[in-house]
Amino acid sequence: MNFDLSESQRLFQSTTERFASAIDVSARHTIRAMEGGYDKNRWQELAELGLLSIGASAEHNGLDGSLTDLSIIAETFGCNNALDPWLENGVLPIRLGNLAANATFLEPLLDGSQLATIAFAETDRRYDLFPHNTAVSSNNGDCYINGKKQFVLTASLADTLLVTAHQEGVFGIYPVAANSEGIDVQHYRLADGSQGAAITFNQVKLASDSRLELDFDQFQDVIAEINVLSCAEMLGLSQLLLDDTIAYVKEREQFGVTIGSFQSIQHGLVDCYSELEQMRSLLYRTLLLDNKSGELWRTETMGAKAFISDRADFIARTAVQFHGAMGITDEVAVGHAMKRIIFLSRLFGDAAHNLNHYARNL
Amino acid sequence: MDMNLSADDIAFRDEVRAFLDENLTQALRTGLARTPGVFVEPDISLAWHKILYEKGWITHGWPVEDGGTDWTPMQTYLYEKEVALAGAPKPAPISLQLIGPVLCKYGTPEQKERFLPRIRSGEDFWCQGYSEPGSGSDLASLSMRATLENGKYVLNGSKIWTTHAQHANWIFCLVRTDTEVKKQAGITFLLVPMDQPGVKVTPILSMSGDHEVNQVFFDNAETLVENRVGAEGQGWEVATFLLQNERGGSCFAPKLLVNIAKLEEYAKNHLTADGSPMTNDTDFMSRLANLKLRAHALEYTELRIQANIANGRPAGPQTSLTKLISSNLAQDIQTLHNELFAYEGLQLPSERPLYNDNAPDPIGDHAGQTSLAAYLNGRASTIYGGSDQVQKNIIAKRILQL
Repeated sequence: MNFDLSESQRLFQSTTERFASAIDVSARHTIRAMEGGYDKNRWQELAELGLLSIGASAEHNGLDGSLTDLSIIAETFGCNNALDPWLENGVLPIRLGNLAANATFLEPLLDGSQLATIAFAETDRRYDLFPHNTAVSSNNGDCYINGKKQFVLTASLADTLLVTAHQEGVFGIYPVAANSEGIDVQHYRLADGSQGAAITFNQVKLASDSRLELDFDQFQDVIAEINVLSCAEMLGLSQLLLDDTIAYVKEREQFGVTIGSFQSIQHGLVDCYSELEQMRSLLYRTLLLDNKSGELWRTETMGAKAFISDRADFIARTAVQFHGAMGITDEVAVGHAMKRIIFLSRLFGDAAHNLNHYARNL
Repeated sequence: MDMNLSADDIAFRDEVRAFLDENLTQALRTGLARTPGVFVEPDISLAWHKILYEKGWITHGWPVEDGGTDWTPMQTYLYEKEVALAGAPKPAPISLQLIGPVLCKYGTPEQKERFLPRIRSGEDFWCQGYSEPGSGSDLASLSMRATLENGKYVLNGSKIWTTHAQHANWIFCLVRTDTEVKKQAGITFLLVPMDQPGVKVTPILSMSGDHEVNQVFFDNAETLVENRVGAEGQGWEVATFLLQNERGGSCFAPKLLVNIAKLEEYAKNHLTADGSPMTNDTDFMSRLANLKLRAHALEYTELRIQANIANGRPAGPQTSLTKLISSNLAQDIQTLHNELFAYEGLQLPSERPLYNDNAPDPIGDHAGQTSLAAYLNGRASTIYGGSDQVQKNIIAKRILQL
C-alpha cells in the first residue's frame, strides 16, 4: 500500500505546474478573446512538454502514461485554474486514436501540429452516448454522413472532427476533416469561456474505410477514463478554491476582526476540507481498481464522478459565498474555477445521471 | 501509488479468515447483530476477548514490546475488514484502545507490569472518567479534585457518561490537582480502583432504553500515588494522546461498508405495496448509493492515514477528520436502515439482551426489532469523544490554521 507519487509523476506534476501557473485572471481574459477562445501557441508548448504524447502508448510513439499519471496532470491543471482544453481536445481524441489501429489522425495530435475534437452530443438525447440521430449511409461505394451535433468543443481550432454515428444501427466513430464540404458550423461560448459549436453534417463525404476500428464498449471505456480525469481536475480546482478562500478569510476584516475568526466561517471551511479529502480518497480508490474496462469499471467511475462533482460544486459555492461580493465578479479566480467545475461536472453526464446509473448497477 | 497485496498479505488475510471461520461462534455473531447499543455487553465481548487473547491478536495495535503484533498497516486494514465481514464483536475498546496505549506510552515499568497483562487477559475491565456534569466539550474546565495525602490521592467529585462503569473494576480519571495554574496545567491522570466505599455508580438510561452510561460519584475515594500516570499536571497531554486514539487510528469504513451491504440485502427482501422489492425504489437506491460512495471514500481516507503512520508521519488532528466523517456516515446509514423498516422500524423493546432465549419475538426481521434503538444510540457518536463542533474547531485551528 502506497499513496506517494513516483519520481516521474512528480516531474510531470512540476512541468504541468510551471506551464499552467503562468496564466493569471487577466491573461486568461486575453486568451479567451482570441479566435477560437484559445492560444494555439500554448498548445504547441503543451505538446513539446510531452503532456500530449503521455496519453498515447509506446507503439504510437507515445510516453505510455498510466491513468494515474494522467490524473496527476489533470489535478495539477485544476490546481492552477488552467484554461487549456488538455482533457477534452488532448487526452480524449488521443485515447480514442490510441485504441484504433487505423487512426491516421493520431500522429499529428501528439506533436501538437494538429488539434482534434469529438462530435458526440445530440439534441434531445441528454447524456446518451449512442449516436441515434447521426447516420452513415453508402451510395455506389461512397459513404456519407448526415446529422446534427452540438457541444463540439473548441471546434474552430480543430483540424479533425471525430464524429460518432451509426451505420444501420452499428456504432462508429468517423474522422472528418473540419474543412470538408457539407459542414455547417455555429460557434458559441461555453461555461468556462471556451468555444463550443453546433455542427450540421449535410451529406458529408467520408473517405472509404474511415470508420475507426473501435466498438461502442471501447468508446465507453475511454469516456470512463475521461470521467476519472474530470474528477482529478475538479479535485485540483476544489483545492484551489479552498486555498484561495482560506487565504482570503485570513486577511479580509469586518467588524474589526478577520472574518476567518468567526466560527461559522471556520466550520464551513472545515466542511469543504473534509469533502476535499473524501474526494481525493474516492479518486485514488478508483485509480487503484484492478480492472479498468467493462461495465463494472464504468459504473465505478460514474459513481466517483457523481460524488466528486457534487462535492466540487459544494466547495465552489462556499468559496464564492465566503468571498462576498468580490466572489461574483469576473476578476477573482474563484468564479473561473466554479465555471470550469460546472462544465466538467456535466461533461458526459451530470451528478444525478451518474448517480442514477451507479444506483441501478450497485 | 498502489494497493497491491503481497503474497504475505494474501496469506495473512487467509489466516485471519480461517481463524474467524473456526472460532467466531454463531452465538457471538448473533450477540453483535442483536445488540442495539454502541458497545456489546461483557458476556459477548469477554468471550471473544479470550479467544483473541489465546490467539495473540487481542492487542494487535500496541507496541510490540508491550504485546503488539507488529502488523503492517495493510495487515491491520485486512484484519479489520475480515473482522467486519465476519460480524465479530469488538472487545472492550476502553481497555484495549484507550487506557492500554496510554500505559504503553506513559506508564512506568511497574505500572506496565501490573496493568498490561491484566488488560490483555481481560481480567481487568476499565472505564473512562473524563466528562463531568459541568465539563463536556470544555473538558479542561473539569473540577473533580484530587489531593495528595500520605502517599495517596483523595478524590472528591463526580464523572458522568461513564460507559460500562457498572462492569468495571478500574477507572482512569482526569482530576484537578492544582487550581492556581492555567486550567490545562492543573490536570492529572489517575488510575482508581472501583471496588471501594468512596466510589458509587448510578445508572443513566439512554432514550433507547439501554443502560450503557453512568454517573460515578467519588466521596473521599482513594488511590495510591503510584497509580498516577505521568507527572502531576501532565494529565492534559496524556488526555490528548488518548483522545486522538479514541477518535481515529482504527478503521471504521470496513464495518460501515458491511452495514451498507446488509441494508442492500434487507432492501431486496423488503416488498413495497406493488409487490416489488425496495431495490426498485429509485429514491431509496440513490440514497443508498450515496452512502456507499461516502463509505468507499472514507475507506481510502483511513488507508491514507494508515500509510502516513507507516511512513512515520503522525496521524495527529487527522483523526478528528475520520471521527467526524465516520460518525456522521454511521448515523445516516442508521437513518436509512430505520426508514426501510417502515412501521416495523418503530419497535422499541425494553427487554435486554435481545439475543438470548428470553428476548421477545420481533415483528418481522430481527434487524427491524433493533433498528430504532440502534438509531437512537447512534446519536451519541457525534457527541462522544468530542462533539462534531469541537472536532471542527480542532480541524480549523490545527489543520486549516484559522
